Amino acid sequence: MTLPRSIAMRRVAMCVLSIILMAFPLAVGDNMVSIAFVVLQYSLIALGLNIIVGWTGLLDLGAAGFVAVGAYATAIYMTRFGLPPLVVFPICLVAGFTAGILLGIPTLRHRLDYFAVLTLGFAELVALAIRNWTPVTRGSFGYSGIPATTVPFHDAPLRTVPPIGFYYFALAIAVPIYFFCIWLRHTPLGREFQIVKHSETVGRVYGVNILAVKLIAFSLSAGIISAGGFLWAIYQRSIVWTEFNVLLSCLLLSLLIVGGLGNPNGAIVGAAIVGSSLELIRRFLTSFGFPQEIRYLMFATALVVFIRVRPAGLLPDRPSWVPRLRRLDGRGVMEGDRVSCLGVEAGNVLEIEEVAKAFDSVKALQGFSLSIPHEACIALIGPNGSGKTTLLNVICGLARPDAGAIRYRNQRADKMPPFRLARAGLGRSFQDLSVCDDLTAEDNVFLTARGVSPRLIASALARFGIEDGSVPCGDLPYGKKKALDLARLFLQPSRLRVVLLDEPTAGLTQREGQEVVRSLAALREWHRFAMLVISHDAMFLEALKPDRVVVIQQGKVFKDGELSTIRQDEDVRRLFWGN
Amino acid sequence: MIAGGGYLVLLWIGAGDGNTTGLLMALLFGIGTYFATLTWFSDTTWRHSVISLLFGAGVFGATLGLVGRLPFAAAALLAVPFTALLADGIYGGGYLPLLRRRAARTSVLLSALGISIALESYLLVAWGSQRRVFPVGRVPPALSARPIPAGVAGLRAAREFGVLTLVGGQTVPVLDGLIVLVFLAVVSGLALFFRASRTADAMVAAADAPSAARTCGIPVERVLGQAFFLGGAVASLGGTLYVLRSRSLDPTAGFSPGLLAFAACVLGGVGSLRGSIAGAFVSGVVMSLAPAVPLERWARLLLPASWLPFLPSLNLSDWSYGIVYILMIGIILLKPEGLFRR
Repeated sequence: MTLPRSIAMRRVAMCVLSIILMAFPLAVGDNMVSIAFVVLQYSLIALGLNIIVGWTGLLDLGAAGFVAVGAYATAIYMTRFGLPPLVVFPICLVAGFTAGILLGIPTLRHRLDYFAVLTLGFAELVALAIRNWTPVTRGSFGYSGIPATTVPFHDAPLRTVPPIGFYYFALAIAVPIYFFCIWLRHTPLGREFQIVKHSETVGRVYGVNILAVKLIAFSLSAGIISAGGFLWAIYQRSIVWTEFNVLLSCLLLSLLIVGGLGNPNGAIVGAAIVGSSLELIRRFLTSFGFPQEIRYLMFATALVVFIRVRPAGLLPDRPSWVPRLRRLDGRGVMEGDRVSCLGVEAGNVLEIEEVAKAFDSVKALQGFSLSIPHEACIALIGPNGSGKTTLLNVICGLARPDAGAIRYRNQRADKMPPFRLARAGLGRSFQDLSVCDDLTAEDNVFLTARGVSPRLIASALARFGIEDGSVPCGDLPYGKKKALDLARLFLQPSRLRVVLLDEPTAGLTQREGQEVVRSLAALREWHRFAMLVISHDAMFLEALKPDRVVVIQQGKVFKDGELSTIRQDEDVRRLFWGN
Repeated sequence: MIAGGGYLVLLWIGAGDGNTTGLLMALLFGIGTYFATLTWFSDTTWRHSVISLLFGAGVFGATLGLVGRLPFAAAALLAVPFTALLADGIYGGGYLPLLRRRAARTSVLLSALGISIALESYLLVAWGSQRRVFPVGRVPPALSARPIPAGVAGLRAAREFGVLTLVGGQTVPVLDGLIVLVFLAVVSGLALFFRASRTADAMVAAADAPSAARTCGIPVERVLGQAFFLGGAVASLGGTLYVLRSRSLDPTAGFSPGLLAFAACVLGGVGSLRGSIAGAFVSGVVMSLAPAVPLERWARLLLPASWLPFLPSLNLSDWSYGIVYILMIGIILLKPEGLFRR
């Protein structure tokens, strides 16, 4: 089997790069090698930070805290227990990982801004704890005299000058982690990170356990950042708590901003540029006897100017999963099945009993009851503010009812988290546009999918009239974006039991609306899922031919009947058009 | 009523253990923070950077007194407009271009932090990192408290020794009284401003729903600039009083109190004036009272003796700001929206 040309080229480039990385310290002076070491150390931390800040989009201002955890874990285990560094390294990873979980459980539930402040506070607390826990951390004196690092099969310790040994040591840690990040990015989990960044609500409805995903991202990132702390401690061999301050957190964040948020290559480039220039400036200032404070002034000024000129960084992240899938042609793709194909069932798929939901003083639902049989199609109509969208939110678990019960296939749905309901075959669309403008149409569909081929995605897009999947979603007209939302929902229609559609034709032209009806009818003929459709579009309802129409008013069922009877009903007419 | 409240606070301070700095400072930072939080609660990630930045600017303004060899009153008077203008300049130079380009929030935040670091390191380069003590002679005697000889009381004690004598024989430094007064004046002024002024309404609207505000004819960018200006002025008042209170200054002085102020605001409920004040009050009280908690004695009673050498410092004054962070984390866990809802 021959490799596609682009992949072959990439492999050649990779070989050349690795030869350069291996041979580089032999060709240049010690100064350059020690700068390269610092760059590797920063790269490692930047890769870790990128997982949480770049991918999940959560602002972590506590990186310095995790560096401190890693550095102090290393110092304590190497000095007090005399463990060799290769044993300490995994301990260090675990320490960072654990710290991430411990901090993540209480903080990750909160909104973005709170999370940022909480992590900032955490970093300060870590520094204070190090200062005050003198029996363990030696307090404000700092840890000095960390044993020199030795590696197996090499008798002499890795000396700091010349730092060639350290360079290779750091390379041996950073390279696997880089490849881990690259790999992680293309796994389903890596895409779930992106979903968190894009929209948590969409993620929940498509079966993503948001909290778990965030916790994994945060603890992974904490572990990798701690590994950076490990390198820090074994190289410096003396550490003090004041080094791990807010300034360090900002500096580490700036590596990502300069390189480009979300792109592992960007993280490396940012680390290389910022790390080496900081080191060079430091040496320059030392040799001319200037105060070191100028360094941060220069750094901060350069950073502000840089962000102003190029807010997205040098290598902005442009995820393109589907083209990559196509390139790989099925090789190396993680296929995972989340939902087993669903068998035939009878009875009611969804039972809503006396559900009530209030937002402060607004009573959106007041004892709403409805049963949806398997394979039924029910239209829900009602004036503005009558509780239609709230009902959908309550059914799919985005909002919890204050009273009443919802049964989905005889299970209490109101007790289940939304991602479980979604995995059990409950899908919904959104009225407002919930697609991600930064991605192409096909990547939008792929973002929430699992184990699908490019061909399946293309056919799902074509079903709703999007012929070219490679256009950026931001360039699509409104109607196509709505269609994209539906294409995403009906990617694997055999896995759906009930579909909740919120105004699928709002804002569409009449022709586009007719096309949606046709596609829905074709899908239902094959896959027999039940549907609950909110719509105000009379033409659409006419074409959809729902089994029943339910009129909702003030959070209660106002009328329930066939479309023809509802259309003739005097009360309904009065409700919508007045007398 | 406000005066009565002020007197109550004075009495309380007099009755306390004398460690009032935390409380008073937190109160002032709370107000300075309020503006920053108010304007940014829609785009919330920027807030804390704004605060540290504004507070850094406040200290920067107060430094003028040290640098320019001006009398204190002149420096303090200059500091407020100077800092306000600086804050406005930072808004125009550091925020507006990014807002216009719709940059990612992380970039905006980092740009703000960058400005803050640049300011701070400029001070470090210009004045060196050592702590500078404010010369006693430059401050009026009424603002520097000294022990009073027996028999001196009333107005004379206040004027010459900087001490207020209260009912019951307690004494309070005049400066603390002044801080309480300034605080009350600023709070009531702000409350009035938000009750009566259309500019304030425009600020709330611009922060809450920028695009809707723009359609209603509110010049969002200019209004946000005005909020920065006001925030800078209030923060610089805080900075000036901070310098007076601590009698010394170093270039990094702004950062931790700024962070503390933000923690206090989060604790009280972001975007609510009442919440900011309550949060500042709670943090101040907790910080003042914490050192009195006999944790060490409890540890000795409750824990086996062999554990004692391995415990971290149980003297809570070592943990200063840390206590407020822990409090903040605890309160956010229990009540995510803070003590008061907006």
